[in-house]
Amino acid sequence: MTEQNELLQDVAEEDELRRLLRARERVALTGFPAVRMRAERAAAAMRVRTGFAGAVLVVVALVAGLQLASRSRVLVPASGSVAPTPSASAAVATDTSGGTSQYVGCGSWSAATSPTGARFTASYGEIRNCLRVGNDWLLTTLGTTSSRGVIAVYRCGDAACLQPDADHPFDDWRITPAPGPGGVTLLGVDPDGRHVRVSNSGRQMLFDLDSLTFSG
Amino acid sequence: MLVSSGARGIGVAVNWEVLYEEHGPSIAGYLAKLIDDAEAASDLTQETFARAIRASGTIRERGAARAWLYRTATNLAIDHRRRRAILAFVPFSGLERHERGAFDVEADQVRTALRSIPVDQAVALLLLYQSGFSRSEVADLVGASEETVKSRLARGRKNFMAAYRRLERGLAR
Repeated sequence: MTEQNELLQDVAEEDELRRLLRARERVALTGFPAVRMRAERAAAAMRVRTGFAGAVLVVVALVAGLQLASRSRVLVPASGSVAPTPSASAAVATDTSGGTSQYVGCGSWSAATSPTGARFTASYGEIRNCLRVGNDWLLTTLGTTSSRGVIAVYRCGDAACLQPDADHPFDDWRITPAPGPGGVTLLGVDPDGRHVRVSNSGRQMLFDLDSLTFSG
Repeated sequence: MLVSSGARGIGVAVNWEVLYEEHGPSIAGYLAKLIDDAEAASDLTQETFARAIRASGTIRERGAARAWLYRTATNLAIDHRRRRAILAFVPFSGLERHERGAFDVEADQVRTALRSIPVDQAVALLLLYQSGFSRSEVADLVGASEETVKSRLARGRKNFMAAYRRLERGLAR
Protein backbone atom coordinates (compact mmCIF):
# COMPACT_ATOMS: atom_id res chain seq x y z
CA MET A 1 0.00 0.00 0.00
CA THR A 2 2.87 2.34 0.94
CA GLU A 3 4.62 1.44 -2.27
CA GLN A 4 1.47 2.26 -4.23
CA ASN A 5 1.18 5.61 -2.44
CA GLU A 6 4.78 6.42 -3.27
CA LEU A 7 4.14 5.59 -6.91
CA LEU A 8 1.06 7.81 -7.00
CA GLN A 9 3.00 10.62 -5.32
CA ASP A 10 5.76 10.18 -7.88
CA VAL A 11 3.32 10.44 -10.79
CA ALA A 12 1.63 13.49 -9.24
CA GLU A 13 5.03 15.19 -8.78
CA GLU A 14 5.97 14.50 -12.39
CA ASP A 15 2.66 15.96 -13.58
CA GLU A 16 3.25 19.06 -11.49
CA LEU A 17 6.81 19.37 -12.81
CA ARG A 18 5.56 19.11 -16.39
CA ARG A 19 2.87 21.73 -15.76
CA LEU A 20 5.31 24.15 -14.12
CA LEU A 21 7.95 23.83 -16.81
CA ARG A 22 5.46 24.09 -19.66
CA ALA A 23 3.90 27.32 -18.39
CA ARG A 24 4.12 29.97 -21.09
CA GLU A 25 6.67 32.77 -20.83
CA ARG A 26 5.91 36.24 -22.10
CA VAL A 27 8.85 37.10 -24.36
CA ALA A 28 8.52 39.83 -26.98
CA LEU A 29 10.16 38.63 -30.19
CA THR A 30 11.25 40.80 -33.07
CA GLY A 31 10.03 40.11 -36.60
CA PHE A 32 12.03 37.83 -38.86
CA PRO A 33 13.48 40.69 -41.02
CA ALA A 34 15.41 41.89 -37.96
CA VAL A 35 16.89 38.41 -37.52
CA ARG A 36 17.90 38.27 -41.18
CA MET A 37 19.49 41.73 -40.90
CA ARG A 38 21.43 40.62 -37.84
CA ALA A 39 22.75 37.58 -39.73
CA GLU A 40 23.73 39.77 -42.68
CA ARG A 41 25.46 42.31 -40.42
CA ALA A 42 27.45 39.55 -38.72
CA ALA A 43 28.43 38.08 -42.08
CA ALA A 44 29.48 41.51 -43.35
CA ALA A 45 31.51 42.20 -40.21
CA MET A 46 33.24 38.86 -40.66
CA ARG A 47 34.06 39.68 -44.29
CA VAL A 48 35.56 43.01 -43.18
CA ARG A 49 37.63 41.33 -40.47
CA THR A 50 38.77 38.62 -42.87
CA GLY A 51 39.64 41.24 -45.49
CA PHE A 52 41.56 43.31 -42.95
CA ALA A 53 43.41 40.27 -41.66
CA GLY A 54 44.22 39.34 -45.26
CA ALA A 55 45.61 42.81 -45.96
CA VAL A 56 47.73 42.70 -42.81
CA LEU A 57 49.04 39.29 -43.80
CA VAL A 58 50.01 40.53 -47.25
CA VAL A 59 51.98 43.42 -45.70
CA VAL A 60 53.62 41.11 -43.15
CA ALA A 61 54.47 38.63 -45.88
CA LEU A 62 56.01 41.35 -48.05
CA VAL A 63 58.12 42.68 -45.18
CA ALA A 64 59.17 39.17 -44.19
CA GLY A 65 59.98 38.37 -47.81
CA LEU A 66 62.21 41.42 -48.09
CA GLN A 67 64.00 40.63 -44.85
CA LEU A 68 64.56 36.99 -45.58
CA ALA A 69 65.53 37.58 -49.21
CA SER A 70 67.09 34.32 -50.34
CA ARG A 71 65.90 32.39 -47.27
CA SER A 72 62.27 32.48 -48.37
CA ARG A 73 61.25 28.87 -47.73
CA VAL A 74 59.97 29.18 -44.16
CA LEU A 75 56.55 27.56 -44.36
CA VAL A 76 55.17 26.14 -41.11
CA PRO A 77 52.94 23.14 -41.80
CA ALA A 78 49.83 23.10 -39.63
CA SER A 79 49.33 19.44 -40.36
CA GLY A 80 52.84 18.35 -39.46
CA SER A 81 53.36 15.64 -36.88
CA VAL A 82 55.23 17.83 -34.41
CA ALA A 83 53.39 18.40 -31.15
CA PRO A 84 52.55 22.03 -30.43
CA THR A 85 54.85 24.02 -28.22
CA PRO A 86 53.87 27.36 -26.65
CA SER A 87 55.76 29.19 -29.35
CA ALA A 88 54.34 27.33 -32.31
CA SER A 89 51.22 25.81 -30.83
CA ALA A 90 49.05 26.21 -33.87
CA ALA A 91 49.70 29.84 -34.53
CA VAL A 92 49.09 28.86 -38.11
CA ALA A 93 46.00 27.18 -39.50
CA THR A 94 46.21 26.09 -43.09
CA ASP A 95 43.25 26.95 -45.27
CA THR A 96 42.66 24.09 -47.70
CA SER A 97 41.32 26.51 -50.28
CA GLY A 98 44.88 27.66 -50.80
CA GLY A 99 45.49 30.56 -48.42
CA THR A 100 47.07 30.57 -44.99
CA SER A 101 45.44 32.45 -42.13
CA GLN A 102 47.13 33.61 -38.97
CA TYR A 103 45.31 33.06 -35.69
CA VAL A 104 46.29 33.62 -32.09
CA GLY A 105 48.21 30.62 -30.78
CA CYS A 106 47.87 29.18 -27.29
CA GLY A 107 50.12 30.09 -24.40
CA SER A 108 52.18 27.98 -22.07
CA TRP A 109 49.08 26.40 -20.55
CA SER A 110 48.78 24.15 -23.61
CA ALA A 111 52.23 22.63 -23.16
CA ALA A 112 52.22 18.99 -22.03
CA THR A 113 54.14 20.03 -18.91
CA SER A 114 51.47 22.50 -17.70
CA PRO A 115 48.54 21.26 -15.54
CA THR A 116 45.93 21.86 -18.27
CA GLY A 117 48.07 20.48 -21.07
CA ALA A 118 48.98 17.44 -19.00
CA ARG A 119 45.32 16.67 -18.24
CA PHE A 120 44.45 16.85 -21.95
CA THR A 121 47.38 14.67 -22.92
CA ALA A 122 46.54 12.05 -20.30
CA SER A 123 42.83 11.97 -21.09
CA TYR A 124 42.62 12.58 -24.82
CA GLY A 125 46.12 12.26 -26.20
CA GLU A 126 48.70 14.70 -27.41
CA ILE A 127 47.47 18.18 -28.35
CA ARG A 128 47.57 18.45 -32.13
CA ASN A 129 46.41 22.07 -32.70
CA CYS A 130 45.59 24.90 -30.35
CA LEU A 131 44.48 28.38 -31.27
CA ARG A 132 41.93 31.10 -30.63
CA VAL A 133 38.99 31.58 -33.01
CA GLY A 134 37.02 34.71 -32.18
CA ASN A 135 36.15 34.50 -28.50
CA ASP A 136 36.75 30.77 -28.26
CA TRP A 137 39.91 28.80 -27.61
CA LEU A 138 40.00 25.63 -29.64
CA LEU A 139 42.23 22.60 -29.42
CA THR A 140 42.33 19.19 -31.06
CA THR A 141 44.02 16.03 -29.82
CA LEU A 142 45.42 12.86 -31.33
CA GLY A 143 43.64 10.39 -29.01
CA THR A 144 45.11 7.64 -26.90
CA THR A 145 45.30 3.88 -27.35
CA SER A 146 41.93 3.58 -25.63
CA SER A 147 40.14 6.77 -26.71
CA ARG A 148 39.69 8.76 -29.88
CA GLY A 149 40.82 12.34 -30.35
CA VAL A 150 38.64 15.27 -29.41
CA ILE A 151 37.88 18.87 -30.25
CA ALA A 152 37.78 21.00 -27.13
CA VAL A 153 36.29 24.49 -27.00
CA TYR A 154 36.77 27.04 -24.25
CA ARG A 155 34.38 29.99 -24.37
CA CYS A 156 35.69 33.28 -23.09
CA GLY A 157 33.48 35.56 -21.06
CA ASP A 158 35.92 38.41 -20.61
CA ALA A 159 38.91 40.10 -22.20
CA ALA A 160 41.45 38.55 -19.83
CA CYS A 161 40.48 35.08 -21.03
CA LEU A 162 41.40 36.05 -24.59
CA GLN A 163 45.04 36.55 -23.62
CA PRO A 164 47.19 33.60 -24.67
CA ASP A 165 48.85 33.37 -21.27
CA ALA A 166 45.63 33.40 -19.22
CA ASP A 167 44.89 30.10 -17.50
CA HIS A 168 42.13 28.00 -19.06
CA PRO A 169 41.23 25.34 -16.48
CA PHE A 170 40.64 21.86 -17.83
CA ASP A 171 37.19 21.52 -16.24
CA ASP A 172 35.75 24.48 -18.17
CA TRP A 173 36.49 23.06 -21.62
CA ARG A 174 33.67 21.57 -23.66
CA ILE A 175 34.88 18.31 -25.09
CA THR A 176 33.49 16.75 -28.26
CA PRO A 177 34.87 13.33 -29.19
CA ALA A 178 35.80 12.75 -32.83
CA PRO A 179 33.19 10.85 -34.84
CA GLY A 180 35.76 8.30 -35.98
CA PRO A 181 38.75 6.58 -34.42
CA GLY A 182 42.10 8.35 -34.31
CA GLY A 183 43.06 11.95 -33.85
CA VAL A 184 41.59 15.23 -35.05
CA THR A 185 43.63 17.60 -37.17
CA LEU A 186 42.61 21.16 -37.85
CA LEU A 187 42.65 22.06 -41.53
CA GLY A 188 41.25 25.58 -41.54
CA VAL A 189 38.70 28.06 -40.28
CA ASP A 190 35.72 28.97 -42.45
CA PRO A 191 35.25 32.64 -43.35
CA ASP A 192 32.19 32.82 -41.07
CA GLY A 193 34.50 32.19 -38.12
CA ARG A 194 32.06 29.73 -36.58
CA HIS A 195 33.03 26.56 -38.46
CA VAL A 196 36.38 24.82 -38.63
CA ARG A 197 37.43 22.21 -41.13
CA VAL A 198 39.01 19.15 -39.60
CA SER A 199 40.27 15.75 -40.61
CA ASN A 200 39.50 12.57 -38.71
CA SER A 201 39.81 8.93 -39.80
CA GLY A 202 40.81 10.03 -43.27
CA ARG A 203 37.68 12.16 -43.73
CA GLN A 204 37.34 15.91 -43.91
CA MET A 205 34.39 17.46 -42.12
CA LEU A 206 33.09 20.66 -40.62
CA PHE A 207 32.84 21.35 -36.92
CA ASP A 208 30.29 23.91 -35.77
CA LEU A 209 31.68 26.01 -32.91
CA ASP A 210 28.20 27.05 -31.76
CA SER A 211 26.45 23.70 -31.63
CA LEU A 212 29.68 21.73 -31.09
CA THR A 213 28.73 19.17 -33.73
CA PHE A 214 30.40 17.62 -36.76
CA SER A 215 28.84 17.57 -40.19
CA GLY A 216 29.72 16.62 -43.72
CA MET B 1 6.96 25.56 -47.25
CA LEU B 2 10.29 24.30 -46.00
CA VAL B 3 12.32 24.42 -49.15
CA SER B 4 13.88 27.64 -50.25
CA SER B 5 16.83 28.80 -52.26
CA GLY B 6 19.61 31.06 -51.16
CA ALA B 7 21.70 28.81 -48.96
CA ARG B 8 25.24 28.02 -49.99
CA GLY B 9 26.01 24.56 -51.27
CA ILE B 10 24.06 22.02 -53.22
CA GLY B 11 20.58 20.77 -52.37
CA VAL B 12 17.63 22.18 -50.54
CA ALA B 13 17.78 24.53 -47.59
CA VAL B 14 15.61 25.16 -44.59
CA ASN B 15 13.16 28.07 -44.67
CA TRP B 16 14.22 29.91 -41.54
CA GLU B 17 11.33 32.34 -41.60
CA VAL B 18 8.85 29.49 -41.26
CA LEU B 19 10.94 27.89 -38.54
CA TYR B 20 11.25 31.22 -36.72
CA GLU B 21 7.49 31.56 -36.60
CA GLU B 22 7.10 27.93 -35.60
CA HIS B 23 9.89 27.54 -33.03
CA GLY B 24 10.92 31.10 -32.12
CA PRO B 25 8.37 31.50 -29.31
CA SER B 26 9.11 28.11 -27.72
CA ILE B 27 12.87 28.66 -27.92
CA ALA B 28 12.40 32.11 -26.39
CA GLY B 29 10.33 30.52 -23.59
CA TYR B 30 13.01 27.88 -23.06
CA LEU B 31 15.71 30.55 -22.85
CA ALA B 32 13.66 32.78 -20.57
CA LYS B 33 13.28 29.93 -18.09
CA LEU B 34 16.93 29.00 -18.32
CA ILE B 35 18.41 32.47 -17.91
CA ASP B 36 15.57 34.20 -16.05
CA ASP B 37 15.64 37.32 -18.22
CA ALA B 38 12.96 37.89 -20.87
CA GLU B 39 14.85 40.63 -22.71
CA ALA B 40 18.04 38.63 -22.93
CA ALA B 41 15.99 35.57 -23.98
CA SER B 42 14.55 37.58 -26.87
CA ASP B 43 18.03 38.72 -27.89
CA LEU B 44 19.49 35.22 -27.65
CA THR B 45 16.60 33.81 -29.70
CA GLN B 46 17.39 36.33 -32.40
CA GLU B 47 21.09 35.43 -32.19
CA THR B 48 20.28 31.70 -32.39
CA PHE B 49 18.35 32.17 -35.63
CA ALA B 50 20.88 34.63 -37.04
CA ARG B 51 23.59 32.00 -36.53
CA ALA B 52 21.33 29.37 -38.06
CA ILE B 53 20.89 31.50 -41.19
CA ARG B 54 24.65 31.92 -41.46
CA ALA B 55 25.16 28.18 -41.02
CA SER B 56 22.29 27.17 -43.28
CA GLY B 57 24.67 25.46 -45.70
CA THR B 58 25.23 22.77 -43.09
CA ILE B 59 21.62 22.34 -41.96
CA ARG B 60 19.35 20.71 -44.48
CA GLU B 61 16.48 19.04 -42.67
CA ARG B 62 13.63 20.25 -40.55
CA GLY B 63 14.35 17.76 -37.73
CA ALA B 64 18.04 18.56 -37.72
CA ALA B 65 17.26 22.28 -37.75
CA ARG B 66 15.14 22.10 -34.60
CA ALA B 67 17.80 20.16 -32.71
CA TRP B 68 20.49 22.55 -34.04
CA LEU B 69 18.48 25.56 -32.85
CA TYR B 70 18.02 24.15 -29.34
CA ARG B 71 21.68 23.12 -29.14
CA THR B 72 22.84 26.59 -30.14
CA ALA B 73 20.31 28.26 -27.85
CA THR B 74 21.51 26.08 -24.98
CA ASN B 75 25.15 26.98 -25.60
CA LEU B 76 24.28 30.68 -25.82
CA ALA B 77 22.30 30.44 -22.57
CA ILE B 78 25.15 28.70 -20.76
CA ASP B 79 27.55 31.40 -21.96
CA HIS B 80 25.10 34.07 -20.85
CA ARG B 81 24.81 32.52 -17.38
CA ARG B 82 28.58 32.34 -17.10
CA ARG B 83 29.02 35.96 -18.17
CA ARG B 84 26.33 37.05 -15.74
CA ALA B 85 28.06 35.13 -12.96
CA ILE B 86 31.25 37.06 -13.74
CA LEU B 87 29.33 40.35 -13.56
CA ALA B 88 27.41 39.35 -10.44
CA PHE B 89 29.30 41.85 -8.30
CA VAL B 90 27.47 44.76 -10.01
CA PRO B 91 24.94 45.96 -7.43
CA PHE B 92 21.31 45.84 -8.54
CA SER B 93 18.53 47.76 -6.88
CA GLY B 94 16.19 44.77 -6.91
CA LEU B 95 13.51 46.76 -8.72
CA GLU B 96 14.48 45.72 -12.24
CA ARG B 97 12.41 42.54 -12.02
CA HIS B 98 9.20 44.50 -11.47
CA GLU B 99 9.64 46.82 -14.43
CA ARG B 100 8.55 44.17 -16.89
CA GLY B 101 4.83 44.56 -16.38
CA ALA B 102 2.49 41.94 -14.95
CA PHE B 103 4.31 39.84 -12.40
CA ASP B 104 3.59 36.13 -12.38
CA VAL B 105 4.62 34.69 -9.00
CA GLU B 106 4.55 31.05 -10.05
CA ALA B 107 6.56 31.70 -13.23
CA ASP B 108 9.05 33.72 -11.18
CA GLN B 109 9.42 30.87 -8.69
CA VAL B 110 9.94 28.36 -11.51
CA ARG B 111 12.70 30.51 -13.03
CA THR B 112 14.32 31.09 -9.65
CA ALA B 113 14.24 27.38 -8.83
CA LEU B 114 15.74 26.55 -12.23
CA ARG B 115 18.48 29.12 -11.67
CA SER B 116 19.33 27.56 -8.32
CA ILE B 117 20.09 24.10 -9.71
CA PRO B 118 23.11 23.12 -11.84
CA VAL B 119 22.67 24.30 -15.41
CA ASP B 120 23.10 20.83 -16.94
CA GLN B 121 20.17 19.60 -14.83
CA ALA B 122 18.01 22.62 -15.75
CA VAL B 123 18.78 22.11 -19.44
CA ALA B 124 17.84 18.42 -19.28
CA LEU B 125 14.57 19.13 -17.44
CA LEU B 126 13.52 21.88 -19.84
CA LEU B 127 14.43 19.99 -22.99
CA LEU B 128 12.41 16.97 -21.82
CA TYR B 129 9.41 18.56 -20.13
CA GLN B 130 9.12 21.97 -21.79
CA SER B 131 10.42 21.34 -25.30
CA GLY B 132 9.22 17.77 -25.70
CA PHE B 133 12.47 16.08 -26.74
CA SER B 134 12.84 12.40 -25.86
CA ARG B 135 15.58 11.26 -23.47
CA SER B 136 17.72 9.98 -26.33
CA GLU B 137 17.23 13.24 -28.25
CA VAL B 138 18.25 15.22 -25.15
CA ALA B 139 21.34 13.02 -24.83
CA ASP B 140 22.23 13.64 -28.47
CA LEU B 141 21.53 17.35 -28.14
CA VAL B 142 23.72 17.93 -25.08
CA GLY B 143 26.44 15.52 -26.19
CA ALA B 144 26.08 13.17 -23.23
CA SER B 145 25.12 9.52 -22.84
CA GLU B 146 21.52 8.57 -22.16
CA GLU B 147 22.54 7.26 -18.73
CA THR B 148 24.07 10.65 -17.88
CA VAL B 149 20.90 12.42 -18.99
CA LYS B 150 18.79 10.02 -16.94
CA SER B 151 20.87 10.81 -13.90
CA ARG B 152 20.71 14.57 -14.56
CA LEU B 153 16.94 14.34 -14.88
CA ALA B 154 16.56 12.41 -11.64
CA ARG B 155 18.82 14.78 -9.70
CA GLY B 156 17.37 17.80 -11.46
CA ARG B 157 13.82 16.81 -10.65
CA LYS B 158 14.67 16.28 -6.97
CA ASN B 159 16.66 19.53 -6.72
CA PHE B 160 14.14 21.58 -8.67
CA MET B 161 11.12 20.39 -6.67
CA ALA B 162 12.96 20.95 -3.38
CA ALA B 163 13.94 24.49 -4.45
CA TYR B 164 10.44 25.19 -5.73
CA ARG B 165 8.83 23.97 -2.49
CA ARG B 166 11.16 26.22 -0.47
CA LEU B 167 10.19 29.18 -2.64
CA GLU B 168 6.51 28.34 -2.35
CA ARG B 169 6.84 28.42 1.40
CA GLY B 170 8.76 31.66 1.20
CA LEU B 171 11.84 30.04 2.70
CA ALA B 172 14.32 31.11 0.08
CA ARG B 173 14.83 33.43 -2.85
